[in-house]
Amino acid sequence: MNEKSPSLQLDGRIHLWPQAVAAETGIKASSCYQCLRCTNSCPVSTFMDIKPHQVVRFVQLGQREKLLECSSVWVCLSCEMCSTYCPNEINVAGLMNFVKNSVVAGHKRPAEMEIALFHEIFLEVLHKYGRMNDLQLMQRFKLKTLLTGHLPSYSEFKQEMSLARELFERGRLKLLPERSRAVKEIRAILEQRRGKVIST
Amino acid sequence: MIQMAYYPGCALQSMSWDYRESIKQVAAALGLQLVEVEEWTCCGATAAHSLDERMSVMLPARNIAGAEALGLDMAVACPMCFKRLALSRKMLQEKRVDDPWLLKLDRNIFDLARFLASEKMLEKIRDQVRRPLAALQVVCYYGCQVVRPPKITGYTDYENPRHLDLLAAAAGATAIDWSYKATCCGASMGIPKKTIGLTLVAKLLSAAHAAGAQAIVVCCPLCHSNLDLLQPELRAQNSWDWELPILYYTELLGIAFRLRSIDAGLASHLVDPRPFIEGWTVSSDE
Repeated sequence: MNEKSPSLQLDGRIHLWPQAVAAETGIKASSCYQCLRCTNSCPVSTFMDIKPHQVVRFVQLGQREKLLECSSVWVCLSCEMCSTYCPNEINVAGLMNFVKNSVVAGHKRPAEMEIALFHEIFLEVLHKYGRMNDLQLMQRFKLKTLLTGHLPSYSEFKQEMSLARELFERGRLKLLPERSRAVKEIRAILEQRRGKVIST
Repeated sequence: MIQMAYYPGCALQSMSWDYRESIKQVAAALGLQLVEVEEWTCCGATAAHSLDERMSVMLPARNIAGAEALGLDMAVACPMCFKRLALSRKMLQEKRVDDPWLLKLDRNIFDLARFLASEKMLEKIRDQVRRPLAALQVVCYYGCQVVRPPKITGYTDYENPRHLDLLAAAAGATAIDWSYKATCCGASMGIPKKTIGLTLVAKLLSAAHAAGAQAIVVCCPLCHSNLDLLQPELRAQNSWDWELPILYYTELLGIAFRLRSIDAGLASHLVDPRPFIEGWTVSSDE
């Protein structure tokens, strides 16, 4: 974070949100003393706009909007290094996930659209078949990102095509997706979802 | 004959069919009967919890119900599925979510690799080795999901897991120590954000090469895809004059058992391990 630190607005309300987070998730951000162990253990912190320890700090400070707009939570790989190594047993990855869930449930635009759309397409394939299929996932994802304005460069496109051809020649790709006969049960579960990724 | 409920996971039915085939062949050789959970469905992977955490508990739960219906402990092939199932089970045990299946939760969930590395199974494995890979040095790569977080997986060796090392040793190979056993490969992030995937995988491959490994042994379909499929691009980018075959532990065992039935799977890797195999065994006249 190169910007100025967020200023505290001492109207009392800011203290309610961290408590609400703790009540909903069981994660006590208040235990954090900023030792930075989470950030130091994170394999993708260099790709993050707000580092993991800052995410925890922002929860403490009630900076909800700032978190809902950050890209870090989407970049998080859920590898759980942070949660595993936190000396105060704060589930940092769980906090990241809670923010992602809140963005979706609140119908806000995710800061990392492609990553969010990838998850959304995953659940779309799951809704259709009850099981995942790599080829379906890739095709639908590519189409969706094209439609939302992401055009690959020529070299990207060439690289992807040559990998696809190689996989096909080696018999890796399974063209017909499998369907579980229990797909109806999966649909019933997925239909209880809160919110959906907003892509426009 | 040992019987277990079996949850292969979607990756094995799709692009990672080489892992599925090698499991099938190795299990048969070891007298392990894997009974597939009937009409199992996807665990939800990263997508479900990222968008709505409740989904990530509900989706695995119906598969736990499937294993309970069989009355057997469940072996899970894919680390991602293993973690999602184990987490779901814990949430259900703590009654943090509704349970429309009325689960008893009296059956264990095993990570297949760790189960095979139990003393009882290792003995059977050693008995099946027809071609010890005595000239082979590997590093074992565990990834994240099967070790972390320890509160869910229940493992105390999360910093230095050993079970794949034990399996490699049983196949006659030498497992070299290295520092990246449980460092994340980027999972599926390489698809929406390729730079992230390439950065993490390049680090792992060069660390494995620097440690002196001739191959990397893995237990996760996502790790396998990343380490194998991104290798040609990374080789060109970094002018590497080496390549590293990526083997599932079951493929390594299959090679040591001399199971020809896994060859088609090996041939589907971008870095084809087959030309290397001869050099991994020590011929009798040496």
